[in-house]
This record gives sequence, structure tokens and C-alpha cells, in this order.
Amino acid sequence: MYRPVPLILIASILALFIGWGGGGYLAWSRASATLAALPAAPVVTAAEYDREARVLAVTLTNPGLVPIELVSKTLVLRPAEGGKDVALLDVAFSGGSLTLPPASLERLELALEPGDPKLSVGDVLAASIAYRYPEIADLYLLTHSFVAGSEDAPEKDGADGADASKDETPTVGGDDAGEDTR
Amino acid sequence: MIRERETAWRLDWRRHLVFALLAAVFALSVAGLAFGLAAAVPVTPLPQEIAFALGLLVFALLGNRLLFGYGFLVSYLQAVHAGRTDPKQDQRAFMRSRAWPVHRAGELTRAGVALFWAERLDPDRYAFFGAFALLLLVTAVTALDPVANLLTGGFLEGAVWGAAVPVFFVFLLEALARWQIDELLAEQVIWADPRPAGERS
Repeated sequence: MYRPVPLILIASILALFIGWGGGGYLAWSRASATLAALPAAPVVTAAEYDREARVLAVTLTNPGLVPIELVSKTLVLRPAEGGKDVALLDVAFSGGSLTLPPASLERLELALEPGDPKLSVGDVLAASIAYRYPEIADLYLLTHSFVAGSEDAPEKDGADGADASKDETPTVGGDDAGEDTR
Repeated sequence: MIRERETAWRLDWRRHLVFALLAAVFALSVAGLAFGLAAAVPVTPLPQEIAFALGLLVFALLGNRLLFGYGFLVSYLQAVHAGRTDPKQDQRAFMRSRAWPVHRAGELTRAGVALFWAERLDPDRYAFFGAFALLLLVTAVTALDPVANLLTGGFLEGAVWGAAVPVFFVFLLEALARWQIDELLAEQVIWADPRPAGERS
């Protein structure tokens, strides 16, 4: 009796190939959709302090595929030699909030107010950013500690030193500091 | 001789047991599939899964004629090889082969009828595999260009994998029919025995 052995072999190999490919395609698309639905935490990739403009520029990246809504920003100064923490800024973003699109990189500028104390070497500037995800009710907090180096806060010369001593009294926040106390 | 062995094999109780077990396994898998589908209904289908299902559906519709044509041809040739064809079956095969405009019933051997039948399905097979080749070509060419690949979003690949399932079955049935026709031709031409396969000792 006839028995198509080569045909059975070829058909088995083809069936394995098609099942592997099609099943792999379906599993891959389901897995990538699941991964894309998972929210990712924002990551600070760089932070630099502009001494003249008195601005802490923080570069934030959203590594995931879910947009992140930045709600508010907070700056806290912790002096190197003793003293109390000084809350410099605690405000909502202009326009209510700022959205980090999926897989994006954004530069965020946190400006110190004119009345805020000067940075000296070793001071820690803690930048906290509250964020939330769509469809999740919770609020998350990201804190980045920036330690002022010698290039950020050079040794005090005449004018700078006088300015720093004048600003030694802690001045809390900016004009709208009491508006958003979280 | 062959007929007796066939009859004996058909009445064997162990064969019934095997078929009952296979039927139970089949029923269980169908039930499991139904439950799995029922569990999967609340999950929103992905666009890629819809593309897969669409490719499968469209090519199953396109290959419907081929699937049934080669399926009936294979089952007829199996009956011929087993030597259990009756005149009614032969007549139906003659009608389906579309050999009747040029031949009268009884003029052709069974291999000749099968050759006519397979040749009648050739244009459909050409169109079917041609459509699949075109789909494959478009998918491969758009996958070459990053921008076009971004636009199609991998959906064409899903349609190709879905279409590959009916294409595989058509290929398999057609190859099986060709194999059986070749066997029949070898028996009739090479050994030149005028009697039908079933009546040979």
C-alpha cells in the first residue's frame, strides 16, 4: 500500500514552521501590547545648575509607552553646614500640568526666586516632582538630589559673599508658595 | 484478498476503541476551545489578532473551492487505491472531473478521470497561490522600508500568518492528490495491468 512518507515529513516541517511563526506573532503582539500598557517611572538623566540664571535644569525621560502627567514641582535647599531645610518652591506647572509623551526626553527648568539664598559648595538642592498616570488615581513623587559642586557655587568673593549673607534668612517659596502645600 | 483484509480490519473492535478514544479527545479539545474562547471574549482583540483572523478568513474563502475539490479528489483516490469504488462513485467523479465534454462515461480509466479533475482545479490553484505570493511580496517589500513598515505596523505580517494556514492545507491536499495520481499512473502505466487496482491479486 502507498504511504507518502516524504509528503508527511514535508507537511510536518511546514506545519511546525507555520505554527511557530503564527503563534510567535500572536504571542509577540499580545506581549508587546501588555508591555505598552505598563506605566514606567520617569528617570532623571541629567541635572545641571546655571549659576547666573539660578536655574536647576533637570532632564526627565519617560522610558515607557504610557504618558506621564507632571503635576507639581518642589525645590528644597539643605545647607551643607547645619541649618534648617529651606523650601524654595512648591508650585503647579504653568497650565496646570505638563505631560511627558511616551518614550520622550524633556528638559525641565526649576528657577529659584530672586529672594532665595545662594548655593554654596556642598548644599543639596532636592527637586521633587509629583506625577500621575492616566487611569490611575494615585499621585507619585520623584525626588532628585542635586549636590552643589565648586563650579556651581564658587568660593565666595566680595559681592557674592555679601549677597549670600544678606539672603541667609530663609524665605519660603515664591509668590504662590502657600497655594499648593502638599 | 485486499477486500477481505479491508473488511476484517473494518470490523475489528480495537479499531472501534481507537476511534472512540480519538472522538473523546476531539470532543474534549473542542469543549476546551469553546471554554477558552468564552473566557477570551471580554478581552478586546488586538489589531494584530484581527489582521491574523482576517487573513485566515479571506484565504479560507478564496481556497474554499480548492479545499473541497482536492478533498473530494483525495477521498476518491483513496477509495480507488483501497479497491472499494462503486459505479455511482465513479460516475460522480466523472461528472466532477469535467471530462464529459470530450469523453463519454467509461472511456477513461480512473487515473484519467483523476488527471482531468486535478487539471480542472489548476486555474483556481494558480490564482490562490498567486494571491498569497502577492501578499507575501507586498509584506516583504513594505518591511524593507522603515517608514512603510511603521505605517503598516506589522499588520500585513499578521495577515500573512493567518493566510498561511489555509494555504498549507491546500498545498497538503494538492500534493497528496498528485502523489496518489502518480501512484495510480505507476500502477497502470508501468505495470500495464488493465484491471482496476482493487481487482488485482
